[in-house]
Amino acid sequence: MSFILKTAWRDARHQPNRLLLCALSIVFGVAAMVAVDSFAANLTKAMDAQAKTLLGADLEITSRAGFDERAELIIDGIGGTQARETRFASMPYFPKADQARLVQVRALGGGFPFYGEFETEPAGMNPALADAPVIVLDPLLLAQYGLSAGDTVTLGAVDFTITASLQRVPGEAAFAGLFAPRAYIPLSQLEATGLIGTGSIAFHRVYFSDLPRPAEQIAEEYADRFARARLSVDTVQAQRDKVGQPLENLTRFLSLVGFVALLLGGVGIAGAVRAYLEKKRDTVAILRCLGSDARVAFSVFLVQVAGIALVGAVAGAAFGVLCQSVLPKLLAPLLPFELNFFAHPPSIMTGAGYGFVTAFIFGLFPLLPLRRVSPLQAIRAGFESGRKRRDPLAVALAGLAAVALAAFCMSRTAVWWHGLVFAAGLGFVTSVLWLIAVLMKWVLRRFFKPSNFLLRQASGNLHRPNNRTVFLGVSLGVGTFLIFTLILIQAGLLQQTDIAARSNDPNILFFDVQQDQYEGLETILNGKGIAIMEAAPIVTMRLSAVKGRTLSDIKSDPKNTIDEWILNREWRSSYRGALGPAERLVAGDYVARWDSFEEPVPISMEADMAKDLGVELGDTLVFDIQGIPMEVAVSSLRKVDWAELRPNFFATFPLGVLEAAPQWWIAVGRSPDVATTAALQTELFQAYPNISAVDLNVVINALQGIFGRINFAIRFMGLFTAITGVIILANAVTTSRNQRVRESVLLRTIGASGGQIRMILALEYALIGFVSAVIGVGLALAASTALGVWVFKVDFYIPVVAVGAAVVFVSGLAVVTGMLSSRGIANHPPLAILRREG
Amino acid sequence: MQTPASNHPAIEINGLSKTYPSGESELTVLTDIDFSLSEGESLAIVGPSGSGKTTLLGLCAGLDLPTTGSIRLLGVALEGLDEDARARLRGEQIGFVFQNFQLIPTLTALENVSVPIDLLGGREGETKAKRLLEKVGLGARMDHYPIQLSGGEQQRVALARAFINEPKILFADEPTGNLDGANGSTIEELLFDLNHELGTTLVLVTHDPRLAAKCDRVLSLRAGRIVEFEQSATA
Repeated sequence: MSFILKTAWRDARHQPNRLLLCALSIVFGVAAMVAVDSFAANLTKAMDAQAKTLLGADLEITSRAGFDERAELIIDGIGGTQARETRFASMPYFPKADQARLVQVRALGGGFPFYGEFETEPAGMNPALADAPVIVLDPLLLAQYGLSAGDTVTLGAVDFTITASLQRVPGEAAFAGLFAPRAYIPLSQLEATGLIGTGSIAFHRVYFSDLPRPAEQIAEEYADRFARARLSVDTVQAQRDKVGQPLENLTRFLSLVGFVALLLGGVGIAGAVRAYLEKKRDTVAILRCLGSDARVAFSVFLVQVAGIALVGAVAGAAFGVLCQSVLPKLLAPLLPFELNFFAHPPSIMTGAGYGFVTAFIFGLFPLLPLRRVSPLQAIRAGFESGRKRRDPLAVALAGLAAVALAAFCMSRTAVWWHGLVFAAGLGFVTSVLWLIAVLMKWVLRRFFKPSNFLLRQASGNLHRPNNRTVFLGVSLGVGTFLIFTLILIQAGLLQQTDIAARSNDPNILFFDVQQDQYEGLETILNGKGIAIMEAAPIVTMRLSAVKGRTLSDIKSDPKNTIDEWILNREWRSSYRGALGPAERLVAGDYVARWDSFEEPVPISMEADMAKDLGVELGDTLVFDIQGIPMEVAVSSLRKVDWAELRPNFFATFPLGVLEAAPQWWIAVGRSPDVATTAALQTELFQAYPNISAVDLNVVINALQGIFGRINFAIRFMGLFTAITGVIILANAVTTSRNQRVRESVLLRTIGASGGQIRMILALEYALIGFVSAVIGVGLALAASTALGVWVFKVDFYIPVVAVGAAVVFVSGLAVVTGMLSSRGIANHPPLAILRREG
Repeated sequence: MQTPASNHPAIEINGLSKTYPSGESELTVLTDIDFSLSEGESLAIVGPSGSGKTTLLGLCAGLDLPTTGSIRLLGVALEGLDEDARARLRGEQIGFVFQNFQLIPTLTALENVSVPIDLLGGREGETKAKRLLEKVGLGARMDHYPIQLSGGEQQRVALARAFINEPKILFADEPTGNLDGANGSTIEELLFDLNHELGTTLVLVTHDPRLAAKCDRVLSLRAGRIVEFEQSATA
C-alpha cells in the first residue's frame, strides 16, 4: 500500500498544476450544490424560528363578504384574543403633491401582530393601537410624493395624518407593496371614510392568539362550519407550507441546475484524466516491466484520481460557502421573514460528497482500461486499442452512473417522476448535443475543404484523432443551452406583459365603478382624450350546486375531484350579448339574450374551468346570486386568452337576466402617457373616491422586478455551468498543450510564422465555440418554445439580436479561453525540435 | 527581407560560437566554427554525443542564432532576420528530415506532405504531395495518419514533405537513426536520389560512418570545435 501511495505522490508531484486544473472542473459544480443546499437550510431554519411571525397570530379567518351573524357566532365560539383587519384597494389623495394613486388600504384593530413586530420608522407607530386618523405608508409612497410624517393623506371622507413609514409587517415580504403600496390605518377610522359598504370588494380578517386549543385542532373541528359560512382559515403550519413550498421548489430547481454544473465537471474530469493517463503509458509499462501487477499499476492512478476528486470537492465546498452568502441578499426582498447567513455543515458535507463521488466515478472511466494493458501493449499501443474491446466493468460503471444520476434527480424533486423526467431531459439534451457534434465532425471531414490552409488546419483539428470536439461541444453547448433557455423564457413571459409596447392594448384599468358613476367616468376620460375600450358589468355570486349535487354533497364525497377553491370562491360573472375580443367559442352556441324568465338560464363557461368543474354542454349548476338561487345550464364553452388585459370571466350570462342584480363595472382604456395617467387618477379621486384606477405599467414594472431577482438567482447557478464549460475548454487545451507545442514548433521549423500559428489556434477555438453556441442556442429556442406552448401557453418569438449576441459571446469566450490557455505555444523556439531528437 | 542570391556558397559560417546559460555560469557548446558549402554539395556532420552536432545543424538552418559569428544561407545573413523572417526563408528554401520523423499526428500523410506549400498559400500542394508520395512508394497510404504507418513509412512521408518545396538546402538529423537496416537503406537511397535529382545541398548529422561516407564532405566535431573538415573518401 505504501508503495502505491508513494508512487502516486512521486508521479503526481511533477505536474501539480495539471492535476489542480483537473480538480477545478468540479469546483463550481460542488460550490453550486453547497451554496444552494446551505441556502435551503438557512431558509428552513429561519422559517422554523419565525414560524409564528409568518402569520403574526396562531389562527387567521378570512371572509370576502364580511362577517355575518353566523360567522360572528363561530368567531365568538373560537375564543382567545382577537384582532381584526379589513383590506381593500383605494385611491387616496395626497394634497401636498396634488396627486392620487392606487394603494392597498389595511384597516387594523386590536393587538395585531401577536407575534413579531409591526416595524415602523419612527418605531412604535402601529396604527392598530391608535384611536385617531393616523396613517402609516409604504416608504415607496413617501418617496414618490415627497411626503413625511405630519403630512396629510385624504382617504375617502377622512384626512389622515402620516405618522411613520412602514418597514416590515409579520408575514409579508418587502415585495408585498410592489404592485400597490400599502397604507395602514386604525380600524376605528374605517367607517368614517365611507369607502366600505355593501358589495365593496374587501377582505375581512380576524386574527387569533391565546387559543384554548391548538389552532390546527380548531381548524379541523370547525372545518364544516367554516365552509358553510364561506370562511377561509389559515394556521401557522399552513402559512409555513404556503411560504415554504415555492421557496423549496426554487431551491430544488437551483440545486438541479447546480448539479448540471457538477455533472459537466465530471465529464471534464473524465476527459482530463484520460489525457493525463495517455501520457502515463510509459510509467505503467515500466512499472509492469519491473514486476508490479496490473492491480498495483491501476491502484497508483486510482489514488491520483481519488486525490483529484478530493481536492476538487473540498475546494468546491469552500467556494460554495462563499457563494452562499450571496443568495440570501439576492432573494431577501422576496421573503416574508428575516434570513440570516450561516454555514451548514451537513449541506457542505453532502455537496462535497456528491462532488467526490461524481468526480471519482467519471475519473474511473478512463482509468479502467489500464487494468488490461500488458507491458508490451503499454509501450506500443495507446489506450485507443484497449478501448475497442468492450469492458464489462466499464459497462457496469456506466449503468451505475446512470442509476446514481436518476436517483439523485429523483431525490431532489418533490415528485419522484419529475426527477426522472429531469434526468431523462438532461440525457436527451446531452445526446442531441453529442449527436450533432459527431455529425458536425463528419460534415467537416467530408465536405469542409476550404482553400485557406489556416482555416483547413483549424477545422481539421476538430475531427482528427485525439480531438476533443464532441466533448467540448457538449460541455459548452449544455452551458449555453441552460443559460439561454432561462433568458428566452424570461424575455418571452415579460413580452406577454409588455403593455406599454403595444400601441393598441389597454394600459389602465378602472374597477369598483358603480352603475350610476359610469357616465361620469366616461366624461372624465373623454376630457383627457381617453376612450373606454371595453367595459363589463360584474355581478358577484357563489356556486351552490353542480349537476344537481349540493356543495356539501360534493365536499363530503371522497371521490370528489373539484378543487376546494373553485367551490368556495366568489364568482365575478358578467352578462353580454356577444363574445369578448379575447374569447373564442370552442363548443355549443353562445346565447346572446334570454327573455323567457325560465330556468335553467343558458350561460357560457370558460373551457378550462368547465373541465375543472367536470361539467359539459347541457350540464346544470346553481348559483347563489346575492341570496337568490338561479339554475343555469352550460350552453357554450369558450377559450379565453387571459394574457389579454381585458375584462374576462369564467361565466358569462346572456342579456336580459342579471341587469337588475346589484352590480358594479369594470372598464379599460389606454392612456397616452404617464403624466395623463397621473392627472386622471387625481381628477378621478376628487370626483369618485371609490373608483380605483390601476396603472398597468406599474404592475408590469413590479413583475419585471420580481422576475429579475428570481431569474438572476437561476442565472447565477447557470453561470456555474458556463464557467465549468470554460474550465473544461481550458483543461482540454492544456492537456493537449504538448501536442500543440510539438505541432507549432514543427510548423515554425518548416516555415510558419507566429501569426499563422496563433491564427490556426484562434480559428479552431472560434469554430468550436461557434458550433457549441449554435447548438446550445438552437436547443434553447426549441425548449423555450415548447415550454411556451405547453406550459406557459404563450407565443414565443425568436429574439434575433439576442441569438446573434449569444453566438458571438460564446464563440468569443471560447477564443479568449483557448488563447489564454495556449499562451506561449506559438513562441516556442523551433530549435526545440532538434533537442527532442535524442 | 533579403532574397537569396546565386553565385554564393549555399552555407557560409564565419567565427561561429554558441553559449547557453547554465545555472550561474555559461556553457559553451560551439567555438570558432568556420566552413562553407557550395550549392549541390552534401555534408555529413559527425562526432561523439554532446559534441555540438545538433546545435550546429540547428544554427545552420536558422532555428536559433549564434552567440557570436555569422551565418549566411544562400547569401542571406541570418543574424539580420527576426524569427518570422527566418521561418519564411526556411519555408521557401529549406527542407528538414528528423530522426523521429516529426510528422503532425493529426494530419494524414498527404496533408503532412503538403503543409509547407499550404503555409506559403500555394494551391498545388495536394498535387505535388501525391506525386511525391507515389515516388517514395506510399501512393496507397496517403490518407493514413502517422500512427497508422510504420517507422520506415513515416520517414518516407517526412522525406516527401522535405522535398515538396524543392528546397535549395536539406537538413537531416540522424535520418536513419530510428530505422532498421532495410528501412534505413531505403531512406538513404531516396535521400540521395532526390538530392541528386533536384541539385539540393544536403547537410546531415549522423553517427553512421557508412552514411557519412556517402556525402561529399565530412565535418568532425569534438567538444564544440571542428577537428576535421575533409573531402569524403567516396565522394
